[in-house]
Amino acid sequence: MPLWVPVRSQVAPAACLSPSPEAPRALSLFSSSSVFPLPNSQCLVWRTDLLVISSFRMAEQPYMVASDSETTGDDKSQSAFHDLAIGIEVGTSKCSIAVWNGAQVELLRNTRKQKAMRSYVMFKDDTSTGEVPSGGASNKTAYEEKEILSGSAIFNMKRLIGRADTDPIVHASKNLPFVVQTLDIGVKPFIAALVNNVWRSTTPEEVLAIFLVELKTMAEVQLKRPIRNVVLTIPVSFNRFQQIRVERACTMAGLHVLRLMPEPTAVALLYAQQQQQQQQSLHGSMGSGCEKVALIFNMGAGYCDVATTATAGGVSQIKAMQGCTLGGEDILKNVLYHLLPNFDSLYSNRDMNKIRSMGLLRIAAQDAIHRLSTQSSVQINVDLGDGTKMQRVLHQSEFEEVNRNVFEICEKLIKLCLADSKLAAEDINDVILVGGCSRIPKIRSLVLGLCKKEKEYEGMDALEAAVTGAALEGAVASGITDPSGSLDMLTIQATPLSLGIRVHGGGFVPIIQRNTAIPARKSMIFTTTQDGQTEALIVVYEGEGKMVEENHLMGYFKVTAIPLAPKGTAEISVCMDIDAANTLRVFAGAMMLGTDRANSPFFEVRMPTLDDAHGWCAQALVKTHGSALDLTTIPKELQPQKVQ
Amino acid sequence: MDHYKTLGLGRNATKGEIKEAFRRSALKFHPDKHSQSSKEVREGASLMFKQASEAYEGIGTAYSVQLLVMLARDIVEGVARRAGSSD
Repeated sequence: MPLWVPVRSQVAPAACLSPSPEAPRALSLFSSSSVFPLPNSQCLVWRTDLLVISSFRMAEQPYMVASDSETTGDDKSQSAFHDLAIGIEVGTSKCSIAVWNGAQVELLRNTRKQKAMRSYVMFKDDTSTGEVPSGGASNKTAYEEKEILSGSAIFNMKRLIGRADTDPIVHASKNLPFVVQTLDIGVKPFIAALVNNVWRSTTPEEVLAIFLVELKTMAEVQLKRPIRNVVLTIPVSFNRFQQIRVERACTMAGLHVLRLMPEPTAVALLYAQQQQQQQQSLHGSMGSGCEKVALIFNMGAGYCDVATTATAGGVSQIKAMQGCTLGGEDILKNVLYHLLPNFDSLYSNRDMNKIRSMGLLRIAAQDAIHRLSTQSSVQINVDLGDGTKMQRVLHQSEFEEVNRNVFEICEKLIKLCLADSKLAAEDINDVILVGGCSRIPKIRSLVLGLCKKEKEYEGMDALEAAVTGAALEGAVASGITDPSGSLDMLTIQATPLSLGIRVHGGGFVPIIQRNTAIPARKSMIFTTTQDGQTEALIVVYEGEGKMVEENHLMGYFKVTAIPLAPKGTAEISVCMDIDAANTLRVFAGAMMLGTDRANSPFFEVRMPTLDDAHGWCAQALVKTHGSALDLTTIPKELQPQKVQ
Repeated sequence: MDHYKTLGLGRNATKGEIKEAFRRSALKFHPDKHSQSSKEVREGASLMFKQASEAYEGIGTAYSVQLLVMLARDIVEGVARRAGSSD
């Protein structure tokens, strides 16, 4: 835990000075302390030698600022730049950091001058180190990629984090060089890296935390100031469990998440800025100008997102978002199985030679896919080391055929997103293509075709747009203003998934629909299903399925003190609130009969209350309580219409 | 409950005017614009944002721009009152 102690007054609770005794491993980054001058004439001694990143519980306060006048220091508006949040995009394959430098967004480079760093953590001997400052290998240096694929490194954290062992994506990850074990009972999967010829266990969350510590350190060294606030980009399809796991990893790394931003939302903010600047140079004024609608298609190694945004006057409003776990990893897998139909046999028994062969084939296939973006056919020559040599030509048509399912899903997402936003292809002004996979010719032609456009929007770097947007949001949300007006903008985010509760019969009733602007507050009235029912279960789910079992269970609690009444007459109000920090709270309680006053104090429950998406908790609830505590909807015309 | 009746508003605002009004209230009340504000102001603004967006979305294009303007005024006054009383 990084700890901030002012030089003049050495005040800090003793408890914060010692690492938790249960913490099995401590990671020392700097043995010495670093001193930073602060604008308000204080001096902080930076101590990261106490940094403990393993298995401590998420603390409310991941860091501590002590000063003369204030013990919390959090609400004090210090110099804005000191608290300026940086933007981080942790991709499935690559990662980047960007920061507002006072005039524009700048991407940081690692010691090897790379802006896009490979996302992985190498576990070797007794120390685990992510290789951000020294690593972050590019795809062209096969030796390092070979190391990453040796079983000693964990990568693809973003695909694994926050998922249960019943998840098909976790199952599909079993063909990676490190161990992904599932017991199919709806708990966290077991993952392990090879250290000294032993498979040592870890968790995706821990791996991400180690990686983030490396990124944080790198940024602190370069920016010569402590970093605590971050805006992190996430895929659209991340559910609340995945978001919470990411936030916990940040907390473990000593970072405070100012905003989690779906990647296309970050791109939308960058687009809003560019449009704003264009308007200004055209008209020389800050007029809101005409509205421009853009479709953003983002596909990286792990996820595919589609969003539509309406932009005017620097305000970008997300109209709709769609996303799924689909990306370069899936394309790579399709190609691997196409090249070697018995690819499964390479990893089933975890023989070291087989893992090596698998790694070599992965590198060759990845390279071929990249080259196919500009060539119609590529030659693959790879010696798998076990006597097998692969020499063949892969044609673009072949590549497109084996990945037909991927393209079909992309198409479906775009159509759904357009339908959700009530837009036709003709309404779209710009098509923005970002993410590594957007360079695949078939994907470009598919997206442009569906949007009836000849060419894509220019002026954005496909690999830097999301992190640039995140850094802009970091500056805007940190309260930084720019005299030239480059930060006079706003992105209004939307909920990617619906939130609601279970009703009698197992149906799902959304209270906050997907694509609702955040922050949001919505309420609905429900009623009892039994005569004289005095208690009701509020079971909260997230998702788009009509039945609850298709969605993610967030948690549950009981509303009590429902006035005695025949079924269908008592009124139970359920209100859901998402604040700026994306925290979900559910308020519920019974109303006095025939009034709009509460019968007794309401319950306020922060969701999720569950630690993971345990589907079996829902089964246990049904088994124990049957339908005795069920609620049901009341007709729409009886719902209160007021804006509350 | 009829918003128009309650607030005595006309129903003739154009779609563009409604969008514009929503954007203006978003710029005023969105949490991103209140990171340096006091807790009271920030929370008041956040509530106002929720109401404005619910109004915008709920009544959609039929919604009067004047309601949003009125709402905006209420918000500013409300926030100022709350901020004043807490000092």
